[in-house]
Amino acid sequence: MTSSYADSRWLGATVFVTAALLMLTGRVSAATPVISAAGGAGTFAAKCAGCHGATASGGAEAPSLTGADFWSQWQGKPLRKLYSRIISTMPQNDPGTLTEEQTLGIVAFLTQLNTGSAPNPPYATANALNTVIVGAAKP
Amino acid sequence: MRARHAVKFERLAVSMATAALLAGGGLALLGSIGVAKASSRAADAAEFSPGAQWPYFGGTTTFDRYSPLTQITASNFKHLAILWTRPAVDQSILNQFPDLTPSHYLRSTPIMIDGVLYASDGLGLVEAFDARTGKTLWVQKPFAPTLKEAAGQSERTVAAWKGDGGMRIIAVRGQYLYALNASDGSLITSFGDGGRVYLNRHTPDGAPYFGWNGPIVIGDVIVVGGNGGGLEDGGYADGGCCVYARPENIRAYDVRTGKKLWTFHLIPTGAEGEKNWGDSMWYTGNMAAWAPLTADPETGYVYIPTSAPTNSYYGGHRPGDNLYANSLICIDSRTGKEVWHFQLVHHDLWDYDTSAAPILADIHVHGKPIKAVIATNKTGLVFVFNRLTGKPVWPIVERAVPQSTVPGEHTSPTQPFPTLPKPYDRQSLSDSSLIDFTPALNEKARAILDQYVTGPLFTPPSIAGDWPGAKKGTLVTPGDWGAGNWNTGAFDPETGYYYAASMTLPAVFPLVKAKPPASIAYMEPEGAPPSRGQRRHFNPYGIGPDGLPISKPPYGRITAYDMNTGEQMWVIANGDGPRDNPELKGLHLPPLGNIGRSVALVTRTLLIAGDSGDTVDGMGVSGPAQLRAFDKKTGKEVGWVALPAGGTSGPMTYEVDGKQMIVFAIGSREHDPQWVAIGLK
Repeated sequence: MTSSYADSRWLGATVFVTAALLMLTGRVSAATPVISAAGGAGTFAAKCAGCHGATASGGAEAPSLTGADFWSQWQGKPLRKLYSRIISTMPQNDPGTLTEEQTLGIVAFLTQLNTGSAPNPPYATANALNTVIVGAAKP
Repeated sequence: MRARHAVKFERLAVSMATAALLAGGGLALLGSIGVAKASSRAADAAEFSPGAQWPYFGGTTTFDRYSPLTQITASNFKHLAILWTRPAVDQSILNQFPDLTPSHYLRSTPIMIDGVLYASDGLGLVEAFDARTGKTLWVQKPFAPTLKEAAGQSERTVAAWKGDGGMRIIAVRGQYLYALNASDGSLITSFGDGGRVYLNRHTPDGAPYFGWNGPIVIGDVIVVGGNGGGLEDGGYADGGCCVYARPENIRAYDVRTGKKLWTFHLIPTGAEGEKNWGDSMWYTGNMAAWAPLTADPETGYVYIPTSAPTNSYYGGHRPGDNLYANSLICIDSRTGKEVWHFQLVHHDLWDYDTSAAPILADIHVHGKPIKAVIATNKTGLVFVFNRLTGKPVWPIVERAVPQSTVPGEHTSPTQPFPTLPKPYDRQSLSDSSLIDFTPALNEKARAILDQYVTGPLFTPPSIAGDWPGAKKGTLVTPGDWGAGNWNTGAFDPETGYYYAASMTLPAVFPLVKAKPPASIAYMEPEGAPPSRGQRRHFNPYGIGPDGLPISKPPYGRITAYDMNTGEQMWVIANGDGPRDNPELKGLHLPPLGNIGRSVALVTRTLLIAGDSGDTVDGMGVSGPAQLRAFDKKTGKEVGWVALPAGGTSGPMTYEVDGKQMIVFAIGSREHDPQWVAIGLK
């Protein structure tokens, strides 16, 4: 299970550097929460893993959220699309209950899982995902 | 036959009218069948009557998926065109909440009454649209103007009720049962708490209620099933690491007030509960009736198909047959009391839910008329009963079945098998049933099969070992998605033919010893409590070599039975299947059948069934698809219509302004969900 989750050391460094850059450039204030893939992994475990599996590899009742088959549905589209689908329809048995922050975390987690790197810089608002185009799945 | 629907709904209308006269609140009486049309209310409700309409999910509450319409025929089917389309969610809602993006799995089959289609949209909100044009008439407003209230998923259908001089649309959405004014979509504020009733039930983890099939209305009574009983990992409560759940009891509500009328408890009390469940009668559950419910307006009886108990694959904690799991229950909607029941699977270890609508069919056996109910489940077995008494039309025998080797399990020594009709899909795998288009494929399939425990239907899940020579669990056919599912079954009242649409999708059921904090002893691998374990599909066909199925075709099929004799009349492959797989290049194979949930529609002249989209875990057609028409008697394909994606709901048909239309939802992973209306230009 843990191998599929983000490498905490790498992520920690990424989050620190990008958060510092964001503060310097003024894109988000110091008070704005920075959404990390690691945080999203926790949300995923609590809200999504029951059906999609602890490693997001899917199960008999829910599809895999990893690999080219899944990721190709989103590739080339704004990352906001993935965010919107999740916040509109998930969790299946209680849609509408994920917060923006939780959903951003799940998006970061899935991006990390599928492409090998979390959105960089990490995005603190859903609007920031509008211009981010989803890249290719890792080989 | 055109009058058939008229008679039933007229009776229902009279019943409702009489009930309105008699009822001073609370449960209204249905026992007024045959009362002459006397009130204006009966006349109102007669508008439900012509066969040109489609007033319930399955056509009528008997769920035969039959229409007497005749405009669309074998000779003109190829000339059909898409007349209009409609997105899964009305633009007005998307304008209000730009983030809303519906799932591509639009489950929703509309109903049509008085020229208006009513449907659960891609978010579960009810939309009314013009049956002629698909143009919006009204859209249910989210209960509060927030994204939280607007978010959701589609239901399979909505229901309608006429009375008190008006018509209501009854719908389940999220954790609530709604009553809407059919004229404008406004809430009936005298119903429940401001127009809705909270359906939640207090599960061990507070798992929210959800159910995809919507309600059924019989007389003045709304009956609601659900999708699960709550569990530590939420949702269905049929797989996982936890034995604690709640039974998804059947509930009924007054259609006028929303007041709860009765609850049918799915775990018996007292000695019967102890016999069926041991101590687990106090703490386990699920058994949700998530397949469509059906009802007989002539008797007021409602037919409830129940599903597997918690956990579906290991039952060491639940000794006994686990009644009322995996059953067909006939309940009197007036009282909530059982009329009869039959358990289709004892002590389920395969998730063999009673997954299809029980179809009410009037048949003639040896010249004797029988008011029958046809029930099927994921196994591909077909059970036929007298729907008034529960007596099997053809004998159902208990046969010895393989026993589990998993410690602590309480396998039932026998399971019920109908002597007639024959099953409609493959029920086991052996060397002789493996794919053999080429010797190489056959060899690979054998190698796969050798890795698993196999046997006849009801071979239990087994321990997945990691020692030399150990098996990786049990390879079960049909798997837990079933040969039959909610899509299966249609009945032709003119010929007595029953049609079963099914697919062949084996599944691997491995068990491992669960680790703390799991409360169950054995579970599927790869779970890390509170996450449930996972059973994988190894390829789109469940498992097999080179992306192909492990068995011989067909992989998706339609089987026809003459229900007056119980005889199987024909079997056809439904769709091309994997003919274009590179491994099969140059073999010039006939249609092999597509997997997925094809839904049959029967008309006066045709059997209509198409491809399903791949929105559910890739099961279905990923690109352009077809809606096909078949000769009802022979199964010969007589025409097809091209679609941009496969179906995700059942095709329904109606006639408006002299034009017959077929409407259903389509979608795929790539294609946005929408409804399409097909007819002659």
